[in-house]
Amino acid sequence: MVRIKNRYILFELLYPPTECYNTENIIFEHRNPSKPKSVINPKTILYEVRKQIKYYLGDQSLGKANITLQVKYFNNVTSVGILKCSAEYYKTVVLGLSMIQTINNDKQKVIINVVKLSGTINKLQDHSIKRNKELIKRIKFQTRKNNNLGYHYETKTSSELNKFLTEESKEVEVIDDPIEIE
Amino acid sequence: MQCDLNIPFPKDVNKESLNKLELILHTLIELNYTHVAINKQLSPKMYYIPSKKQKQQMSQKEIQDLEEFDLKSDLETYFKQFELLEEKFKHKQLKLFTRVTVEIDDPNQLGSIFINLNSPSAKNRFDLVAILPLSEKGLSFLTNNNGSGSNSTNVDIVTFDYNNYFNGFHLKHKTMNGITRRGIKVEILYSSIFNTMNQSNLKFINNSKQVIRCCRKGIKTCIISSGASQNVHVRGKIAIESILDFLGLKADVYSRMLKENPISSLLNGRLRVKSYQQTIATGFDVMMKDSELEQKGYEVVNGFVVATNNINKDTEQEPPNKKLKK
Repeated sequence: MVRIKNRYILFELLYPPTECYNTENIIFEHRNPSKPKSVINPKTILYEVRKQIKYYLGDQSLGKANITLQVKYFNNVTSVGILKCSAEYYKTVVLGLSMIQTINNDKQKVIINVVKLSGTINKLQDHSIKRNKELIKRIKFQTRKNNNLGYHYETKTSSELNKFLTEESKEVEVIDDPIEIE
Repeated sequence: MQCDLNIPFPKDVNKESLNKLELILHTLIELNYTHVAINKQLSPKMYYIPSKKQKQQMSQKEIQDLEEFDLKSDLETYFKQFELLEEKFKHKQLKLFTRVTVEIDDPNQLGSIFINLNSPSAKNRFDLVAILPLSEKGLSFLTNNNGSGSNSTNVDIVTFDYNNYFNGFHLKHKTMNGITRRGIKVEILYSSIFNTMNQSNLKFINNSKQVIRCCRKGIKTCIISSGASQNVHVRGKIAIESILDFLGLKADVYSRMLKENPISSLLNGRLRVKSYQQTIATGFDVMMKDSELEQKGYEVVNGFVVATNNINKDTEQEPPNKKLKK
């Protein structure tokens, strides 16, 4: 009886703005939550990863990496997701993720930032919750600096992002991936 | 900490181009970068002063362009914009550095560049000095000991143009070893792999393989930086590692390329400017307080934050004694 070894990848979609003269809400601009679900969803992301692997590494390594490739979780609002792949060929999957520039031939260009790699999904959940808390802290700090008032004053966008992030960390806590045995 | 020592400064200074530069820095913050150098590139047209014979061969338009361009004012605008950027990113985690790269076609034309860089308006204001050879003569400038070659002690980095094939020159072990023995680092720019125009992603793979081959796999010599003119071409740490793995490097090599080699080149350049004979340094270049740094396992060396390997020995468990079996 042998456990099948997997690798989990925590990634984050960033939408770098091409023109932005008002940099007050720059954290919010990078995580653009107004994208419709028809353009960016787990299916289109996986299609794009496979396309990039095929372009750079060919059919052979696509076939190897494609064995247990699936998106475990993806939140369209905060644009954070978890991807599962085999432990042997995780490097090819990371290359495919990092080479992506557009998804679904959309006009807006995209950076996929690979945040963390792990062997178990529990560690990724802890890390993503910790990251969300840090992000909320950063947003509060930035708004305080912009206002020059010395105390925390929530703008519309920052309060929205706070709400989404807290919701997301609740969702991530619940994800479960049962152990497969050969 | 994470370094990116090549973010190009725009050639035409507009509101739009400066805004693009700012946006690149903002995306770098999202990707957890800490040390960034903004690069001013000087082409031979910018500093070249032709002789009377050469002027007769040139057309009138070229002579007019040469006379209109003023290097001193161009450098002044660069420093002005840099100070404005420094103020904007004061409260953020990013630390900014100045850098100049000089394109060299023929070393005999170089006379005026040293006059300009050593003038009181620009002297000791560039943290890093780099060189971009356009021909084999330009590369040999670094290996010469005589005459103008003695200025090569001030150089920190050698870069190449990765968007085009190396026309007319072939890199050799001998020349590159001569350069790297002086502590000069060789730079690889990864952003051209995302540029599919003119097959520049293929050219990048070809050129970087050549550079890695002649630098003995680049363990102690190579550094990697972006050279991105758009904020879309910038990537995080794990993504860059996967690109270097794709080029055929091993994990111990590319971890050095990302962290230790760029720090050492930054230290070298910074000490040249700020210290007396590289022994005594002055200034406050630390991002956090010292007590906070020690808790997180960092140390301050000459104004740079460096990770320490010393973990508390009490918490560390000693390995059990091995007993040999007969």
